[in-house]
Amino acid sequence: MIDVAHLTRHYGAFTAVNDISFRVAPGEILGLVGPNGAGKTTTLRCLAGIIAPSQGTVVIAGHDIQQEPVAAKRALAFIPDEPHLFDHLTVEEHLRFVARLYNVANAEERIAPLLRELEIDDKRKALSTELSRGMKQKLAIACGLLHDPSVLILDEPLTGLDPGGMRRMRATIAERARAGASVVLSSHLLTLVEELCTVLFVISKGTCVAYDSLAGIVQAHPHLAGKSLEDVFLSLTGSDEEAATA
Amino acid sequence: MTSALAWLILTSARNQLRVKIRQLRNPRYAIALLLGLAYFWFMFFNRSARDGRQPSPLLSDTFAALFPVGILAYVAFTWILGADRNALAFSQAEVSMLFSAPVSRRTLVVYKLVRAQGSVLITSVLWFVLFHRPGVGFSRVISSWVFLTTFSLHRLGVALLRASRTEHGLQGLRRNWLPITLFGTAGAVVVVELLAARSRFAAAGHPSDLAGAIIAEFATAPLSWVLYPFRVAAAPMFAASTSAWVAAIVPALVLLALHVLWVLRSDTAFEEAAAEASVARAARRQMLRTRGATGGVVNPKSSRRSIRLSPLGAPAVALVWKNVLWLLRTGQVRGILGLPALAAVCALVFAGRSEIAEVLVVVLCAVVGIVTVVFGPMTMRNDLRSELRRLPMLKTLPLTGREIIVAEVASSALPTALMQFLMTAVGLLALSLLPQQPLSVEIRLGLLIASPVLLAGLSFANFTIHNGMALLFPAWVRLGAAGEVGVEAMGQVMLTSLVTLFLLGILLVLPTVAGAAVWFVMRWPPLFAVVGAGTAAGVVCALEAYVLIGALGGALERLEPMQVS
Repeated sequence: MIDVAHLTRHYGAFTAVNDISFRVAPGEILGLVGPNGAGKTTTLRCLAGIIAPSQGTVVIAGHDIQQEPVAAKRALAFIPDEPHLFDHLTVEEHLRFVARLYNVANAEERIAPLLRELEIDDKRKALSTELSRGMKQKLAIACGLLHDPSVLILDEPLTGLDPGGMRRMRATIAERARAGASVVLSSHLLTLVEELCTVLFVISKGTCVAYDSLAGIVQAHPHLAGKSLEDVFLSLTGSDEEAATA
Repeated sequence: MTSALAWLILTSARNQLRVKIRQLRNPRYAIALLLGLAYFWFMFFNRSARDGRQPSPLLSDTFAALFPVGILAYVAFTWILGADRNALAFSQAEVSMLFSAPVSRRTLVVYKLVRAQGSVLITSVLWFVLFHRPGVGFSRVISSWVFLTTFSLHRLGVALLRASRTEHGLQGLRRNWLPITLFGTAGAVVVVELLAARSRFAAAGHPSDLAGAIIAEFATAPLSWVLYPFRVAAAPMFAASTSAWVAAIVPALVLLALHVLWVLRSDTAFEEAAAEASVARAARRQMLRTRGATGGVVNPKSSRRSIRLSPLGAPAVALVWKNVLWLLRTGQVRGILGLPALAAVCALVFAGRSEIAEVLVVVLCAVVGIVTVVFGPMTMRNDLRSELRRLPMLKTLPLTGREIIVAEVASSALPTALMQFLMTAVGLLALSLLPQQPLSVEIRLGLLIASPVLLAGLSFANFTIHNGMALLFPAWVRLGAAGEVGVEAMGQVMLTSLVTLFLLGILLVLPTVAGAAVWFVMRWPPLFAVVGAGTAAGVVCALEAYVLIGALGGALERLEPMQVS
C-alpha cells in the first residue's frame, strides 16, 4: 500500500510538486504520467525516500518514509530509468549483495528462477560492464524484485529493452501486481501505461490534473470520449494547445 | 574563433564563481569559509603571528637541494611511463563542439593552457601562504606560478610527443628529434653516473649521509649539467632575498618560454590523442559514477574469485563485502600487502649483513606509516567519498545513515590499518635485528600488541574526518576516485590535507590524554604500560569516530542528490 497525502516539494522558490495526494492499493498499478518537467521524478524520489517532502506525508506499507525510513525501504523497490550497477560485481554477486541487504533467507532458491525469468541466467558470472544496456536494465529489475517487495516504483522500466524483453517485462509487472504488490509506474510510453495501469495520475506543472481510471477520466471530460490516451494526455496537460500554437 | 574560446573561458569561470557564491547562501558553507579565512589571516597575514613563525622546514637548504632531483625523477617517470594522458584530456562537450569547429590545433593547445591557469594561480597562492619564508613577499606567488606552469607545459609536451609517436610511428619520433635527443642524452648520463656512484651511496652510514651523497653527486659535472634546467625552474621559489629572486626568475622565465615554444610546435596528432584521452577520461568518470569507488581498473578475470556472503546477518556487511571485492579485483590488495612483504624480505635478507639496510627498513616502515596517515585517505577512497556520486541508490538502501557510514568508513579504514600494522610489525622486526637496541624488548612487544587497536582507531578517526568533510561539503571536496590529478588539482589537495590534518589533530587530543593517563597514572611495567596506553588511545579514537559518525548519519539522511551534483 502506498499512501501519499498533500505531498509538496520546493526547490528554493520553485515548487516542483504542489499538494498532490493519491493511494495505491495492493494489486493496483498507478500510471504516473506528465510532460517533461511536470514533477514526476520529484514525486518518485519522494516516494523512494531519496528526497524529503517539503510538506505532506508518504506512507509505504504502513510506514512513514520520513519517520521509519528503514522499515519503509525494506518494503519497497525503486527501479530508476538509468541502472546503477557496480562495475566490479558479477550479475550473481549483485543479487547476493541485495539478498544480504534485505536478509532474503531463501536467496539461493530465488536467484536462479529470477535470472531465468529475466533471461540473464547465462550471464550470471559476467561483470556488469560486460552486459548490454538492456541486460543491465534487466539486472536492475532483478535486484529490485529479489526481496519480493510489496511496493514497486518503476521509472521508465522498459528503457533499453528489446521488443521481446519489453513484452516479458510487461508480464512481470502485471504478475507482481496480481501477487499483491502496489505498483507506481512512470513512463512516456502511453501504450504501456494504457495496457498495464489500473489508475492514472496525470501531473502537470507540479499539480494533479487528473486522478482516476482512464474510463473515469473520460467520463469526467466528455469531450475526450473515443479519443486515444495520447489525445487525452495532450488535452489534460495542455500540450495539444502548445503544439497547435507552435 | 580565438575570441569565442576566450569568451568560453571567461564565461565558464564567471558561472563557476556564481555557483560557488550561491553555495555560500548555505550557512554551513558560509561559516566554514569564514572560519577558514580567519584561520589563514591569523596564521599567515597577522603581523604578530607571522613574525613569531619559523620558516617552513620544507624550505631548508637540504630540501632546496633535493627538490630539483625529485622533479628530475618525476619527469623521468613521465617520459618513461607516459602516465599523463590527462594533460591532453578535454571534456566531452569540448570534444564534440570544438573539435568539429573550424579551430586550429594550435589554438586548442593555447586554449587548454590558458584554461589551466586559474587553478595554477590558486595553487601558487596556496604555496605562497603555506611555505612561508621571512623577507620574501608576493614574488613567491610568481615563482610558484612560473614553476607550476613550466611543469604543466612539460607534461603536455611529453603527452603530445608520445601521442605523435603512437600516431605517426618513426616519422613522429623524427619530427621530435630535438627533445628526444636532449632528454635521451640526459637520461643516459644520469643512469651511467648514478651507477658509477653506487659504491659511494652504499658507503653512507645514515639516511642523512645518503641525502648528502646524492646532493654531492648532482653538484658535480656532468650530473650538474643535467640538473641545471630543474634548478633553474625551482630556484626562484627558494630565493632568500629580492635580489636573488630577480637573478633567478629571468632564467626561469626563459625556460618557461622554451616550453611554450616546444608545446606549440609539437601539435601534430594532438587532436586524435586529445580525443582519445578525453574518451578515456569520460569512461573513467562513467565508471566512477556507476560504481562509485576508487579509480582502479577491474580485471574481468578477477571475477572468478569471490568471497561468500551469507544472505542473513547485519545488512551493512553487504557494503563492506562489496568494497572488499573491489580491493581484490582492482589489485589494490597487492599494494596493501606487497610493500610490507617486500620490507620483510629485505629485513630478513640483510639480517646480520648490513646494519644500514636494517635501518633503512625501519625508516621506510616509519615513513610509510606516517605517510599513510597523511596521504592514505587520499589514495584509499573505497568509501563514502566515492559512493556519494550514487547517492540516490544509497538512499534507497534499507539502512540508517549511521550504518552506511560505519560500513563505508570501515571499508577504507581497516585495509589501511592492516597495512600500517604490517609495516609496524616489519619495522619492529628490522629493529630487533639491529646489533644495538634503541628500544627494549618489552616496549617492542608492547607496541606490537597495542598497534592493531591503536592503528584501527586512528584509521577510523582519520577516515571519518575525510568522509565527514565530503558529506558536509560535497561541493568543496573531490568526490569519486582519483579524479583530477596534476598541477590543476594540487591546490585543492593541499587545502583538503591541511584542513583534515587540523581536524585530526583536534580529534587526537582526547586519545593522547587517555593514553598518557594510563601510562603515567597506572605505573605499570613497560610491556603493560605500552599495551595499556596504546589500547586506551585506540579505543578512545574509535569511540570519538563512532560519536562523530552518529552525527554524520543524520547529515547523510538529509543530504539530497542535488547538493552532490
